[in-house]
Amino acid sequence: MTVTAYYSSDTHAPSVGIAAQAFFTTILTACLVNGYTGKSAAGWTSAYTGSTGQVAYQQGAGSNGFFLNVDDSAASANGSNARVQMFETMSAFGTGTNGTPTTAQISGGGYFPRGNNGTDTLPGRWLVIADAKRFYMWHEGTSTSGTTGFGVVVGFGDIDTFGASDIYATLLMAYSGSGPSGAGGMQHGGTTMVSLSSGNYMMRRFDQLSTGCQITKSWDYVKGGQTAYMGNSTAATALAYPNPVDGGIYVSPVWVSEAIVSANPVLRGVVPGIWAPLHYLVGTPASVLALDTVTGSGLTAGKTFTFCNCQANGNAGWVCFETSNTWS
Amino acid sequence: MGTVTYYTSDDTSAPALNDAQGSLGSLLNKILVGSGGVAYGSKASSGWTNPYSGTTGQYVFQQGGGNGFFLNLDDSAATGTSTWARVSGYQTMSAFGTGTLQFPNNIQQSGGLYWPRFPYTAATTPSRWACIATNKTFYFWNEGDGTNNGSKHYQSLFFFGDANNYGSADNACTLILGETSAAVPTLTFTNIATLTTIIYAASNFLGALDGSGSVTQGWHSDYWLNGASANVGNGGVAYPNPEDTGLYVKPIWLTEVNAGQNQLRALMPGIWNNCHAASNFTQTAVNTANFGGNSGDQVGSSRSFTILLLGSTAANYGSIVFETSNTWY
Repeated sequence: MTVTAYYSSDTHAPSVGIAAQAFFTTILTACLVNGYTGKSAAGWTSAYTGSTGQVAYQQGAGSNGFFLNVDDSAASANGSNARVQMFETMSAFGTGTNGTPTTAQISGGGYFPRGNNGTDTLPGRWLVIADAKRFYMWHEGTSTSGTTGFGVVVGFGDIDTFGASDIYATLLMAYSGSGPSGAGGMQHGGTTMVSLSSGNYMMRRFDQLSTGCQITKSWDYVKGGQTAYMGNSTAATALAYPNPVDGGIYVSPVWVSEAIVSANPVLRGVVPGIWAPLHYLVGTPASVLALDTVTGSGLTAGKTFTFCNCQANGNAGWVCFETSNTWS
Repeated sequence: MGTVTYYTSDDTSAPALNDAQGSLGSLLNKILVGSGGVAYGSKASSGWTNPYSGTTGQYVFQQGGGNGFFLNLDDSAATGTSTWARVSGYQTMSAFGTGTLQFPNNIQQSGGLYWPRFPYTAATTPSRWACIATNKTFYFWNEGDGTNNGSKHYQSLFFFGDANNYGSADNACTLILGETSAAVPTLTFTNIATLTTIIYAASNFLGALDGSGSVTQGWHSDYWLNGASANVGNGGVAYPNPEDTGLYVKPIWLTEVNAGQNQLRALMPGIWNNCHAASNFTQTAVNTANFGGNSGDQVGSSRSFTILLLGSTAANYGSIVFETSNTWY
């Protein structure tokens, strides 16, 4: 399964205003379905479409084969959103079985926030990493490179499960409200294993029965500064950057758990391709810049990590995208 | 790299740990130093030396590998129940109780930390025990109760030896863990900005040349998988994990705070944190079932574990996982 990193700086990458109608679908269709000169597509299909900005993507080879219905048809406007819902089967855009999140959970679907920077209509920086089974996307939310406070990180696809027969472990990481001031997103974890990550849903719970399973993401809480948002910690609570002992940068896998069937949490798997940085990073001046890249050593030898800044519910943070072809 | 050996009171010819003067010291002397390379029965000893001794129960053990530091163990208290040894480390020694760069020093912990020999008050029959050791590190679990029935009052852990340090200049990451008084406490992890009063290192992360001498340390594992609990080995994941019927353990790390910076210093070799509640397990035998590796990160499939319960005040508050296979390094 080949992992490809698609950058807005690629010569033939699509260019679209930060808050334009079809912002997400323009980028995702190019990366997941069509590819562009210099970058092959990630092996997904555009299964169904509607009006402008309405695309239902289906996962590719080796995946659970589920769908992400992306309604990115709202008029261009800063602070606008695409709305997303995943389905097990589909027959038309917006029509399918076991839509998650359900209407009761987030009416109209989860939020993929576009840019939100005043009257900014210019293109901004973005990064998509994908294989045929999942994609993760960061965009800076502003056309001014290096500005923080507007970054958005979202994703969809199969996690690496611990159970061999868990065939519904497809995760949507969206916001639960209009963002990036809304809660949730990829960066949101829990404060315990049984508190839930806003906007984060699995296709079905671990016993493969009911749908609409809101889950908890977690990572190394102590090193990470005891915060529910990745890369959002204080100097007093997190690991210094870099670790003074060895100059190292420490990142943690992101685990998925749920506590629906039993009160005791079930540990379901790991989200491949994204990592939680464990250092104090949000100071002034910033310790890292968006798209800074570091290489791993030890247990993460051979991996390349790219820093993406993000914002959710008033919390600044950072997520590391594993941009090397080393997810499995 | 030292070879890992697992010793328990269940072993054929295993020495007894009872209330007799020097019983703990004598047992450790057999395990660590032995005679002619043999601890007892068919078990090899772990390659340490006993360069100095005092009166009955007074031993100095020197690491056979690693930093080559010293453990001064005074188990000379008279035979009886509620008995404890006093322990501290030294970077150099010239006689029992005489050396330089003691850890903890007498300002930090006057007379040294406490290790339980026979903490129970109402029995004199031998306690069960378990120890995993290499030539530079050992961990010891003492059930502390001669009734041998899974008593929850005194099950405790102590250790001495080198951790797997991350800093290339860190040649003094030799640790000692013990109690601060003659009582078994609840063993708890710290957050990254706080330190324990029960774990000391021979020096800070800059190593022996820095000359800092004894410093307290922090330690932690995965907080969430530990059920958002500070208690060592009292995790929150359902057991066995319903997703895959697995047993989950996570590494334990050592931390230090210097100049206002929180630092990750080392990985603890040989012990792991149990991600499941202690109430899922019973201490019906020291040598509990060995669990194969699980599918979690960093564990792999070649390690074997034994779970040992920790208790105080009649309750099991947690557990410690010994890696009993020769897979520490």
